[in-house]
Amino acid sequence: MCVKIYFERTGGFAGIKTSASLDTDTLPPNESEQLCNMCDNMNFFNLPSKLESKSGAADLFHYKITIESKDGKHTVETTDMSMTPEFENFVNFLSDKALKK
Amino acid sequence: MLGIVPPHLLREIVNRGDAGLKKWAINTITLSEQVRMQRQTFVDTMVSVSEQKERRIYDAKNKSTLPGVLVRVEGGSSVNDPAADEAYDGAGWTYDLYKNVYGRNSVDDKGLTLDSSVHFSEKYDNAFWNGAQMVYGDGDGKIFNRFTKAIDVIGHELTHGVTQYTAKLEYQDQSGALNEHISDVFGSIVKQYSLKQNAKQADWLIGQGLFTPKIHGVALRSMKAPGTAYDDPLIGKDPQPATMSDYNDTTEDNGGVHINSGIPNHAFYLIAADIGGYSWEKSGMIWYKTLDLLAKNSDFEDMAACTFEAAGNLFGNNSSEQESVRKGWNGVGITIKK
Repeated sequence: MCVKIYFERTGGFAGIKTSASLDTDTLPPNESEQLCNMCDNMNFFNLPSKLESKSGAADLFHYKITIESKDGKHTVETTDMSMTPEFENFVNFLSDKALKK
Repeated sequence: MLGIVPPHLLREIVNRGDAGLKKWAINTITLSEQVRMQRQTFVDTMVSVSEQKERRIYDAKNKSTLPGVLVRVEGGSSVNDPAADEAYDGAGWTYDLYKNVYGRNSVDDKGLTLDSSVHFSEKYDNAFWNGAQMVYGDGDGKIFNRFTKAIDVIGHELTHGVTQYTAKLEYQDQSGALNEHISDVFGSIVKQYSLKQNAKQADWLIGQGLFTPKIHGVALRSMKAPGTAYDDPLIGKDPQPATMSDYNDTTEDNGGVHINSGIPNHAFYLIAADIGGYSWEKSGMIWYKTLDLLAKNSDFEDMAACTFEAAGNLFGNNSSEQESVRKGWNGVGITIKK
């Protein structure tokens, strides 16, 4: 179902930017399936574009994720304090990929 | 029903409901308000009574649900977990600095308990202040070690709480960079205070020891020489400017709050070095008193003017300390118009 994923993490205490571009067609089949399941489980295309965190917080990571598929393109921006557990799993997977590039 | 029907719905019922429903909604709102006020009074009493430091350390067990399991309370012995013990000790040094040097009783000046959660999430490369407590990750082991390893990180995070209760600087663009800057200043001061170092002896580094040996870098930021803390093929080069001529106009990172903070950071270093002695005494006091002079949308020029005013209030107009403040800001390309 999902095809291309663009991941960007900015901010945080260190302020170091990391990013990753993934294409499910070129990933190993097991990872591709895992990623597609994660996208489906969190209903990515129906999430609001911005998930705001509460005021007073500082040094949170800022995540920007764009997914392009045959159904269209959608971008979600969020922080550490405004994620569902499903979304967090997805972010951890992508952060790990960004680290290994 | 109390507490289940949301307030906005109750207000709608007041506006649109029949007479019976209207009466019920008004009674419910009134009762909710009374309960809320009683609860708030209870909470205020609970958090304001302490005149001593109160620390609580939680283990998030590599989940992101806060605060996690309570592992150490005030006066408790070491728990044989470096992250938990460092969070406890670092919060203690930070509390002591604010109390002993600036007369401030915790982040809210009312004895707020200092809550910290360690082992947050998995391989989490970060530490943050969530508006109520500190949160520390273990690091991924490839780039970062655990974030409690550097005491200035702990001082930095707690100072976000102090700023939240004082200057309330908006976390965006220059006011956001000042928010970061103030946390770096007092983070570095906490480290210097714990090591009894004067301005000359201090390393003026933020996050020294956080990088693993695989990374070419000494720390995350340098107040003495912004832009020189790291240069590595995996994470790039330290992007911090030292002067206004290299100001980075960006939309990322809330408008570069962790980048442009290099400019006021360097000004503070220049001022502390020029005044000399222990930085928590004169230069730290100037910065602490400045917190009450800033507005939530203050920019770098406002900060310079407020530190100049604070130096005048503390040491007299035309004093050598006030002149050091003027010279320090000049050194980063900001002229005080007074």
